[in-house]
Amino acid sequence: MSEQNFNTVPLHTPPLSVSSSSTEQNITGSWKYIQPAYHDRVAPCIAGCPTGVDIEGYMSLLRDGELSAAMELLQCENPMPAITGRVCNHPCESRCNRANYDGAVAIHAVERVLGDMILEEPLPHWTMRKHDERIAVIGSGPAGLACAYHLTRLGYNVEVFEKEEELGGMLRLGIPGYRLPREVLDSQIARYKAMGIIFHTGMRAGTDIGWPRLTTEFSAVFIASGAHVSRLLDLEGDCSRQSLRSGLDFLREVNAGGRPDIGKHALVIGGGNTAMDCARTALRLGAEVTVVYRRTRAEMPAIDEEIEDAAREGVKFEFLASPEKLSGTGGRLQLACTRMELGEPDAQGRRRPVPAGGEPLLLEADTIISAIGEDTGLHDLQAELADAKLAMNTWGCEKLARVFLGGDVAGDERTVASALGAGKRCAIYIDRQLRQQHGEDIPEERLEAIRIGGSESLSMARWTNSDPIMRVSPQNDVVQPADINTAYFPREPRHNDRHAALLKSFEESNTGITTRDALAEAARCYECGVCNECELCRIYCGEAAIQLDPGSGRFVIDLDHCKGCGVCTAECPRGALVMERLANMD
Amino acid sequence: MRELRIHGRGGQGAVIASKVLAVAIFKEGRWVQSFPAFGVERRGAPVTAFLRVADSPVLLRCEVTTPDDLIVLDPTLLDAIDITAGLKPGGSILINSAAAPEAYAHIGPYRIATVDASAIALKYGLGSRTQPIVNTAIVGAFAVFSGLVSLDKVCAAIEDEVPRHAEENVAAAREAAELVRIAQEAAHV
Amino acid sequence: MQKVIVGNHAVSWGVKLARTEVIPAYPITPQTQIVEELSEMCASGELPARFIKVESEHSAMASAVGASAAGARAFTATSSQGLALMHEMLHWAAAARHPIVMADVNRALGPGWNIWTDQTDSLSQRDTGWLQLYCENNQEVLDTTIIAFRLAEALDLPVMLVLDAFYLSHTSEPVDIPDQALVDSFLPKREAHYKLDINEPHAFNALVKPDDYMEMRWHMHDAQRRALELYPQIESEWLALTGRYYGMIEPYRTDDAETVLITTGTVTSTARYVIDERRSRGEKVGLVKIKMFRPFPVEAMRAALKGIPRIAVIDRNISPGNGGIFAQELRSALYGSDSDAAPQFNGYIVGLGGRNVTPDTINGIIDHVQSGETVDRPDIWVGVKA
Repeated sequence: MSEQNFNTVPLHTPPLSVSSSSTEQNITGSWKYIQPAYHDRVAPCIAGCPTGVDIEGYMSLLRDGELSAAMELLQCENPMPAITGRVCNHPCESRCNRANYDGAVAIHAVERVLGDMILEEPLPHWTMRKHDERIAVIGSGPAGLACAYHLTRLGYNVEVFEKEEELGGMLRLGIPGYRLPREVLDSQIARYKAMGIIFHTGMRAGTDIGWPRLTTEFSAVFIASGAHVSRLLDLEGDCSRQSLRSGLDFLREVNAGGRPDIGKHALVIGGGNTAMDCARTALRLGAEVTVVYRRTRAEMPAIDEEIEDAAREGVKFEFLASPEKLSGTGGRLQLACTRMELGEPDAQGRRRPVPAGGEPLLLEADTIISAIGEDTGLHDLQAELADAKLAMNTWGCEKLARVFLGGDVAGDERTVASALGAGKRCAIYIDRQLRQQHGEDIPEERLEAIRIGGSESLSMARWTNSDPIMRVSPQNDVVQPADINTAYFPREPRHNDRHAALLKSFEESNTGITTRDALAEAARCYECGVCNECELCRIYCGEAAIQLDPGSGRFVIDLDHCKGCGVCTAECPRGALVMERLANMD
Repeated sequence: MRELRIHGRGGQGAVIASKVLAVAIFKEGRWVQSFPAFGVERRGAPVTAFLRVADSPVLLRCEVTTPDDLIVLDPTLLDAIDITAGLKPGGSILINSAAAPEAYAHIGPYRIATVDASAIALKYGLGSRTQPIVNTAIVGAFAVFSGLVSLDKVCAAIEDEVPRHAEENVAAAREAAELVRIAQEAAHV
Repeated sequence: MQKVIVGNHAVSWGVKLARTEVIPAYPITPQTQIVEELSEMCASGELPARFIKVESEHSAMASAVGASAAGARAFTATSSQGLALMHEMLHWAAAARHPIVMADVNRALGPGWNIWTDQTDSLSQRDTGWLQLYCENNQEVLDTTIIAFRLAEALDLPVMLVLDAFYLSHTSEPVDIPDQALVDSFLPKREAHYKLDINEPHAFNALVKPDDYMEMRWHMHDAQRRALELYPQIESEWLALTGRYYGMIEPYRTDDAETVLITTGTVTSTARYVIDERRSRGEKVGLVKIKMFRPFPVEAMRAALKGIPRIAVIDRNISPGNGGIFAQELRSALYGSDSDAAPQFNGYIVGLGGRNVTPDTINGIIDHVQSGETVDRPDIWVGVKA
């Protein structure tokens, strides 16, 4: 055995297990077949909002304490948040990825808080009036007002023609004051006037101002004349009685200040928002009210909260009852209804009511209000337009690209949110047409690029390149609940104490939530799909391949060293990162 | 070297009493070592703490078995345990008691003193009626009775070691120093 | 500044003065006031360190390894069963060459459940590669904490600082707390020789084949042995700054001694008291205190005990089936060093599970070894009840 003097041995081996060279030379990225990318996808609330409000965007700004930026972003997409914050059917909340976790973010209530704050603020100094073109808007309901608002902000001169003496269309005539106080509507309209929009009341297009004049004096005409014709109830018996009322006419009368005597008992026929408005209004006039509906509670098209509030206030419901025959003696009306049951789903997926047989249901009342829907009077309008030699195409635009159609009259879904979306859509379309007439090339793809989540909703921020939320590459891919890493979101019940009072008065029944609750709700928002620099991807990356780029303020992935393990996408709380298959692997 | 043993019940503050005395005596330039009899403490159970005082670093690292002085925070312990075990003949005993020191003459040939530390503690709101915290009162009385350390240094040590209600604790120590009753002569000596 | 503090807080003060950067610790039994005080210092901002509350001692050491790998100065503390739970990570810390400092409050291992002092917990980590330093009083505890960081970082090896439960950990006595500036001049900021660095990435602790493993262990062993030279140098610097010196071992009144006790921890102090007493009666007795257990100071012990005819090793620990651990270590260190005059060599087991070790205990041992009743074995149990 040879002796070894350890003290003089120069050992080549290092004292611990450590690589002799930098591991940067080891291009571990070459192993991967999939790689992460920051996609900045679309939150389902935005995709579900017919108005196209960047909900996730303003929630993110609110969470960061950027209140004025949040208000600006909201106003960029929604011309009347104080109004939608009260009357919208908020499909955003039913799409919210948090809905089945611990309750959807109370988006509707937050919007109202922000909307009310906006009305308190002076009108921002928006850059307007850069174009010479004048544009006519027919109708001052939500679609008309939205189109006028957006076109004005895009720099056009807009004039609105309203056949009634007061502005607001269905907002004023159809929606009761206890849901939408007139002061809110009035101060919103005052802001439009302050923006420079010109309003002509008592002017019916086609009669008070003719179509030929409209299409020659104005560079574009947007028709949003709404749906004002109450559908007729098809009943056996004498339907001409004073006590059988049209729902819309009833609301119009009361909303204008009338207080008709409707007796002690009222029946309201229908299951939509008009029916709920009629029922709660009749209740406020002192009647006992029963709603008669052909299907069940689940199929009612009215906003959930409206149905709940009606029930809480004491409205009764007769479901699966189809009115057939009207009779009556001595001022008392009798309504015979066929008992129904639910059959196969119809084209919209709602189960169709079919007669169940058996004895008819007999109801008595002093007043019967029919609220089974409204028609547009579109046939009349089409005839008028045909007389004026105008014919519409599917984009709501006639071939001379001068006349556009939107809102209830155009067959859009009959909600304020859809009307606002239609107004925005046509404003953008008109803007494109007019700028193209000035020689600008704005291809069809540009319109597709502002479509949110592949829906009909469009982003004005993207159209005007003014999106304050930095998104790397906005994709039209909508974030699903499974994309959320809920481990990072402790369960927290939603803050939605609306203090709904059982006043049965014409005062506003829903007092909304507090500012503090609104901020707490913003903090609950998952911020689906958009990187908010939470850093978890960087922290978890085992290769230290994710670093913050000081220039852009965004995270960048060192793809030479990313092994494609996917831990970053698994940890991302909000689905902003996705794994992509490498192109050369296909 | 002088060795002191303190008997109390969990919650009365025996361990802090030994620490306060250690700090007070250290402030006078002498070497000290204080520690509890190590156990799994709980409220109400008998607790013992020790103090050694010397003019050079204390080398002994074991429990005190032959003390020069005893402090008894709870007079019921006199019946419960062999309180004078190892106490040197002529050693001193300070008892928290409302009785006169002569009432304890039967214990043996020791210097005995009493002070109603419980009443004083309650007067200054220290602890509760069932569990008065008597440690600061008793160390005040001990300063006078033992002559081992000045009352002022004891009060300064209380301020260091008992920051909560320091004012009341100092007042309790000073009052106990006035009220301590020392038996006229060492009994049976 | 002099303060009357318990041994646990002497450690905390040392850790603070060392400007420790990361303190991962398990906060529940058998944890001590060391970490309680440190967590308060961190919470108040007095000590700007990252305090990491972990779910077990194993995780505490794993986190300390991580912190040290990132170049930070890391500390943790534990006791008995907690130290045992760390065992795997102790090997890791040493072999990955992390200069972590840990305080172990010597407590007996259960069952029977026991919270009192006993050295078997730290001694059973003998072969993990950690240096081990045993302390006798609270001043030594504080000084050794600071010295341990300096030593650890010079060698890239972890150091375990050991103190007796209760007889130090909960005993209040005066301690001189040095100025921060003094400590800063003695212990500069850690300059890690190897660390995780995103800008200069290296792979650590990958598979090592038989080709290299043995060499790496040679390095570790060599670093341990270098401590035998380095430690006295570091302590000399501390002596110059503070006037205090402890030594790897400390012979006490051994010059002409015929009987020498071998002691560690607080038993040393009580034994000094006994030696002084017996010396005053003219007996030729002395003691050698062992402070450093790993590396074992073989040459220093041989020199200190040269020509001593009677040696009594006092062990507050037990390796069941053999005897006192210090006795075994010393016996093998002395083997063959002075073959002409092998001493009488008795090993005594005392004070297990915190049993009081009094002057009587030690006098009994001296009487026994002097009686000439040669037992010459490492497992004479003192005071075992019949």
